[in-house]
Amino acid sequence: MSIRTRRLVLVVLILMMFLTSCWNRREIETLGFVLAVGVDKAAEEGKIMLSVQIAKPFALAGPSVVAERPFWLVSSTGYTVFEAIRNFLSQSPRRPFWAHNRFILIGEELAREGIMEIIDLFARDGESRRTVQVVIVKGAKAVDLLQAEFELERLPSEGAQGILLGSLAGLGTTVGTELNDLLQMLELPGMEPVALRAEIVDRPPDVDLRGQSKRDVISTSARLSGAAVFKKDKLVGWLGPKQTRGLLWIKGEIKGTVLVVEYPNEQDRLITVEVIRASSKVTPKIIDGKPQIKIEINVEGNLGETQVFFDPITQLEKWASIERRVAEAIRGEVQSVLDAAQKEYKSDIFGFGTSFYRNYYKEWERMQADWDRLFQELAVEIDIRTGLRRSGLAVRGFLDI
Amino acid sequence: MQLEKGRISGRQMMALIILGRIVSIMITFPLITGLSPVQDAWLAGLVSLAVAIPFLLWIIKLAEWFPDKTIIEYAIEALGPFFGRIIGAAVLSYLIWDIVVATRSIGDSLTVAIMPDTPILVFIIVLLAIAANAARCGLEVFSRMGENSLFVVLAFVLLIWVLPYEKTDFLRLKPVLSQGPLWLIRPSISSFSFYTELIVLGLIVPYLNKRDEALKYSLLGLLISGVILVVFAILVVAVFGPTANGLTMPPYSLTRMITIARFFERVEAISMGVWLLSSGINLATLLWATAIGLAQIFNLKGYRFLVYPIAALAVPLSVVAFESIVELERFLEYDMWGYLSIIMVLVILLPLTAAWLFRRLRSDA
Repeated sequence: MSIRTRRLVLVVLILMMFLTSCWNRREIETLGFVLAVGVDKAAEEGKIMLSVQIAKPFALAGPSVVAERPFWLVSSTGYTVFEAIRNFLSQSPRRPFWAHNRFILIGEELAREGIMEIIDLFARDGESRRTVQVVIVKGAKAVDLLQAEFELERLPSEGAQGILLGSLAGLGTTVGTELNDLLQMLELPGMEPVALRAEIVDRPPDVDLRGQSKRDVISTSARLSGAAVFKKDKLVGWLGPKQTRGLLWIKGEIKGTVLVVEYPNEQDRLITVEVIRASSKVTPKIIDGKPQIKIEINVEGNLGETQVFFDPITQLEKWASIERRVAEAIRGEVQSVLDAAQKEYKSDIFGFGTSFYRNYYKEWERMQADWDRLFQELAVEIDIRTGLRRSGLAVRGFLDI
Repeated sequence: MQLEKGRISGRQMMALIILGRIVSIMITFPLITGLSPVQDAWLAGLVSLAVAIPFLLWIIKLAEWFPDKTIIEYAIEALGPFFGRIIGAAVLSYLIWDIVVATRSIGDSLTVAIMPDTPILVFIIVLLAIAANAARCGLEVFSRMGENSLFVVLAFVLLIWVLPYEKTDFLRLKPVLSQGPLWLIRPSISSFSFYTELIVLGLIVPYLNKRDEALKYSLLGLLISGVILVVFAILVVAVFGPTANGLTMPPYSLTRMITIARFFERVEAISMGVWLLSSGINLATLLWATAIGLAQIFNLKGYRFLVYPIAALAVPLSVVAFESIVELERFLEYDMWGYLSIIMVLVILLPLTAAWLFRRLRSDA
């Protein structure tokens, strides 16, 4: 072979690398981008109903006065998730494309029967990602929640994502549960899963300048707060926003929040403390053969607002007293979630068992079979330290003389 | 008789070593798959690295005892034309197996990861054809390519280490050694089979331009690849926890977890860049070594014309060798590929060492 033919062969081979894509060519016009998926029990026994929001690019691109919703909601059924997904092809002219899916919503009814049967595909499939959020819909079917719309964002998945990230960063009353986390909570010894809770709420009607409702049909919106509590893969109950914050204090996952406490000696005058940093340490101990847990929570905050005249420079003891009140408020939330988990749901959502598994492996092997009972009787010691660091641009409050 | 006129530097040899190791770490990573408890994988990685160091020294020492000769040539010199050629055939069969496994791994991975409907034959033929072309260009050419690619590949590896930081939780590595230290033996064997491919150094070291650099750079290459293996074993568990041992391609899944500030996502192309660059050069090295070895066994005057036939042989072999990805993963476990490669390596190295000792004793006497 001459040099020239050899070069030619090489060029052809390199070009072939690009030609291979013919088999799996995906043109953007042939794809329907899935924004969120809802999983419910179908009416037919044993079947699963899958509902997807598919983005409508032309409605998104158009002027924003267009009344058309920028997504299409469509449902399909099948005995398995994969079958249901394939069945979309009989309804959707564009192939559903899963790489941009942000949420897996699961209806309460299905969640109570167990989620193990429906999550495998989302972890196995090459388009779907394990960073997708798992959400449990309280008191409704997932498909109903997919009707929800949010203000400021045209795509509901963007709206929900914004609210979720916002509450995680500034409120701490939601849990962010990515599929990757959920799978691990299911597999880890001594840990039960939690997932984000969503509820359907009525959305106030749009009001125009004359005070009249613009839309005839008032659409619904969604509230993302609180958490769903599981025992193994079955939903057993819910945590309210404050209890959820209690859970996050224990896990050390609070990124920021505000706490309102009463001013010392003056009831119904309130002080607001902005938490800027929080960490926690869960220490398992075995005393006299009995497992015990010690939780240390360290919180740093700023004085954010006061409803009463308060001058910390002259009233330093009040400053310390507010710190104690903040600690008490946190203790209340922590105790509330501990009670709910230990007495009501009997589910170790904190992973206390896991901390024994990690630090006392030998003893854990003995405890594991009996952990359900041990967890309910587990003595938990809570130690909270709070530090009030700064007070914004004002040192003292203001006087009315 | 010199079949290969090219000479390479120590750094280039180091690049070949590291790229060869990265292929098996970044694609199948058999150490992690199916291992339970998976959080101790990194310890097994450390143990196998510790065992690999004396193994490497052994190969390099042999090359020093028989300077300027490849492992095939000195096998024939030390053991005679018949037994020497049998040892040589053992080396070659090992290398061909390595080509087959490496080809099948990259083919399967590309199929699983991006193009599920594409016949695997397409990837296998294209990659082997390109690698064979590189091998025919000679040692110098693909070694330089390797030296230059190494920076790109290492930069990508660093990115894959750093970017998933949001998803890591190093507590997932506990409990450490819950099954006791003896448990480490089996995963260490499976991990050690990563390094037995270094037998290919027996064919590369004679072509170094500075012979005394062989030890330094091969050791450096071994250490760097060992560190890469251990860090990946740690990171995969820190991100996926107990579910890590169920991943088909752990480092690829790791890159899929990267999300930064909600827009920097879907960077698994990085992974694929590493796959293609490193496995292309690895295959070129193995094809070249097999061709040189074959030419030396049969006293041929050239090796270039052997490259295409060997590559053509590897195509059907890599397709029929494994029915499914399950068979491939199973094969890479400690009790198949692990034992097999250790036995192969001992079969090759022990007689050579014995022959050398025997010769030295005789010359002393």
